Amino acid sequence: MSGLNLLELIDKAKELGAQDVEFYYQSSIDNSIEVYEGDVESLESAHSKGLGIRVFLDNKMGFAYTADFNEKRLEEVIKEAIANAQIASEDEYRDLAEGDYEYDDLDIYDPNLEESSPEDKIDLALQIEKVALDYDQRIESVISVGYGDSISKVRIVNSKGLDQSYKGGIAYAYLYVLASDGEDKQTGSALTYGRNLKALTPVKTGEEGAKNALDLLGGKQVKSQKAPVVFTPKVGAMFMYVLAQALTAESVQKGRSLFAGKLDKTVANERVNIIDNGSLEEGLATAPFDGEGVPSKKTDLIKEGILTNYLYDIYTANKDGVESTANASRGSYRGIPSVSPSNFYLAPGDQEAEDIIKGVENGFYLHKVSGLVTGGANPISGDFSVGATGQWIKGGEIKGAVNEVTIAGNLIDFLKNIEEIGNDLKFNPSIGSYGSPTFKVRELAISGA
Amino acid sequence: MLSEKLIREILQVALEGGGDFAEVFYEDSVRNILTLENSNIENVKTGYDLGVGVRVLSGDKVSYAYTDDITKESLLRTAKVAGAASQGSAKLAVNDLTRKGITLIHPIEKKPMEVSKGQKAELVREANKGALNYDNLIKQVMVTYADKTQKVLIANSEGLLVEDERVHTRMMVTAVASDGEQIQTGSEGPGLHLGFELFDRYKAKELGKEAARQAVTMLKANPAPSAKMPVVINNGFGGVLFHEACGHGLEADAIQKNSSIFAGKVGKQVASKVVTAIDDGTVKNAWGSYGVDDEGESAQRTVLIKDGILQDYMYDYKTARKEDRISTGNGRRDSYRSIPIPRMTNTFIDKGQSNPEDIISAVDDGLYAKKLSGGQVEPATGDFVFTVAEGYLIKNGKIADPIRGATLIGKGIDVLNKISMVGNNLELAPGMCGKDGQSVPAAVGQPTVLVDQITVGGTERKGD
Repeated sequence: MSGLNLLELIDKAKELGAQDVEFYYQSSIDNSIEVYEGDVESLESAHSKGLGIRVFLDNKMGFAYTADFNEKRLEEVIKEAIANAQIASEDEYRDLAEGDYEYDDLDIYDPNLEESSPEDKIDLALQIEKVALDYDQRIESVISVGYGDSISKVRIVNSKGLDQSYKGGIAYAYLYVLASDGEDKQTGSALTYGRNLKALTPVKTGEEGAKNALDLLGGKQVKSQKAPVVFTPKVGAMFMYVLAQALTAESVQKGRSLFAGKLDKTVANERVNIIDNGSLEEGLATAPFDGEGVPSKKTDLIKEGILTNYLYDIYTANKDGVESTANASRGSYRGIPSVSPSNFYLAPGDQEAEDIIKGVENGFYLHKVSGLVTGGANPISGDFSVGATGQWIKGGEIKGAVNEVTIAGNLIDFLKNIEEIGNDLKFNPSIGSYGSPTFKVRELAISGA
Repeated sequence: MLSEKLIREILQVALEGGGDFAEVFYEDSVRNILTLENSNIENVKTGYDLGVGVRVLSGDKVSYAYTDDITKESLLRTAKVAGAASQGSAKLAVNDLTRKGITLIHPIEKKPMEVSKGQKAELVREANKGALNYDNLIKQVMVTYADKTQKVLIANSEGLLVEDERVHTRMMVTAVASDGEQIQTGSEGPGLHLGFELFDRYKAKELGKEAARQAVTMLKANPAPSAKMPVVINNGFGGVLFHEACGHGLEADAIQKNSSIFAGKVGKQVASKVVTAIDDGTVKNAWGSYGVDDEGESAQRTVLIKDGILQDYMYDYKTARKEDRISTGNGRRDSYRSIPIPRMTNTFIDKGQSNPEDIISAVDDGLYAKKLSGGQVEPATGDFVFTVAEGYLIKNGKIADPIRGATLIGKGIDVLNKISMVGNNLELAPGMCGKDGQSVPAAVGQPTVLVDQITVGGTERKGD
């Protein structure tokens, strides 16, 4: 591996004063293409690699990373990590994975991806652009459309005998469109991903991006009121993002979660099941093990409305005297592992999305929220207030678009009021790997005119 | 560092496919981050980033490749990959490289690399203490210290060769106050293009105290009402609204794609007459400043809006070339891993005539947004939502009770047209600006301003 002998480096780190040490090596090949008005606008390609080093010393942890594997630099980086550990606070729960575990063999790498030609990738992006532009005259422009892929190798080695690696690959394509009816302008976006080019759906995705913008044109404010709200999978997934942050053991232990002290209690409607599953093969955040080498698994967080578990890494699990749920995440070799969800979703129910809408006499079909993930929801109190755009439902039918309103409520009330759940689970990878089906919340406060 | 001979070779190889412009961006960065929580120093991190990116332009097409392996062999391979997508036939020669001297406008006295880790840890503890000692209601404090020293070398086929060193130092304190029922947070986070002398200007303990004051104040606040009302936005970080809801629409890439409300409006009235807005990368030691941008163009001051009339946009090399003009020095990237794109530096509404007190007195019934936190904007339409971190009602020209949970909702251009008073107390504040997945330090700013009407979304539940 690029001339790096990680096992020798462990000895080196110990010689330099580390008691325990862990190396996280990552190399990747990334490509991305953007097209604009029928031509290639940009092409990017990269071969990169790097090493993250965690050093443990008297229950203290230090971290350093480098992309430069020059022998002198490596020694300097190890020394920095040790010096960093020396000024950290002592904490008896800091620890590494104890040697190797049993791991699932996951199908997350397709060699076809590496062999796909740049021309095919460009064609795919061009096709998405064309589909969106041709979809309706009111599509004013496709602001951005692109294709990307990434193949990465990860290896973790630690001084307790763990030595594991995997290779994974993912391809994706997206678009962001602008629709205009002369007066109002609205944007829409859509994304498709898979393990190879064939798994991507350029036509469906291009149409979806266009439709998302068109649905919202000519939006009007509605009167302030309380009404049922039907969530699209896309917006549902954004709420899953907020819930996931509050369900990490780190948030709970630090008193930053509305779920603190609520284990085994009812926190949601009995139809609600919320799951984290790092070994879901179709997921974007899937790998045989997490950022500390712990095997990925499925964890029930809310089961039939009852809070059953939190998300743990080794450190937070040690603190609570439980097992890690394999939710240590590093982002890249540049990051210190911390608790974070993998593929996190609201489990699907058995209703058709259409039937949920049909059952609403007078309510809001929520397509977009803004401000939710940037401070619009308080993870401790659970209060949220966000800008909302969507359509109004009257007598079971979708009527005009709705704009410039806010919806407000509390996350626990929201969970308890989820009374109908669709069978159309879909992941929204724009903010991580969060998924949700269509669902209906009995009542939320809408403020408008 | 790369030799001039090797740089020329890389540029020449990059142009072999027929490109009409090639550029080398070399970066050697070191960063240090310390985080404290629950009075423990939890994470201490040092990162070394070293790499080279090669960009080739061929008409409007950009092709980019980067590597973190800076051997000659790998660099030439990277140049070849970057050049392969070009379609021109003419083989351009690389001009002789001329080293561009840069005037040192952002002097650094105490290089963070030369300050001991122990001193940085001490500072973080001081801030923690400042917040904890403020009030018993403070239950938690989080402190982050960060410094970054970035050395860059930029060279291109037109013969430019320039080096720059950027030093950024910042501290962020978040205090959490709780009375057992409600929880509120406050935060304070100064940062400058400066070394450790940042802390001669800002005392860590005071930063902690200020974060705590905000949290405790908000704990005692009532839920915000929902209504359309006049809003006074305080100076400093209040400028984030202009940055997000208008500034991005003044970047030349958005203009050329016609995805901005400001496209085609130079010379036209786009804001009320009291509004002058500027992007200025030369403000001494400001958070968004530099000597040269990431394409080697000198930082400059660009008037975007003068007395309400749109003057100009912010350009990088590529967007400027398309209009046959020169860059405004706004070509930035987050590292050697990314292509440069037009970005803001220090972007602010310029100071006006009014005393801040007179602005408050002018409002009978409204909201005083003393501090904004994050926000979200649809760049193509200018629709925004911002959260008010510290807000008060204004009653009969006086600041009244604090309110919590308020959001500001509207469109950027509407707000610009509804600004009726601009204060004389311009101040800048640091932020990390994200665009196309790239994050760069950018300062926002403004004096205190009065916006005649904004939709305020609150959490107060009428009719409950």
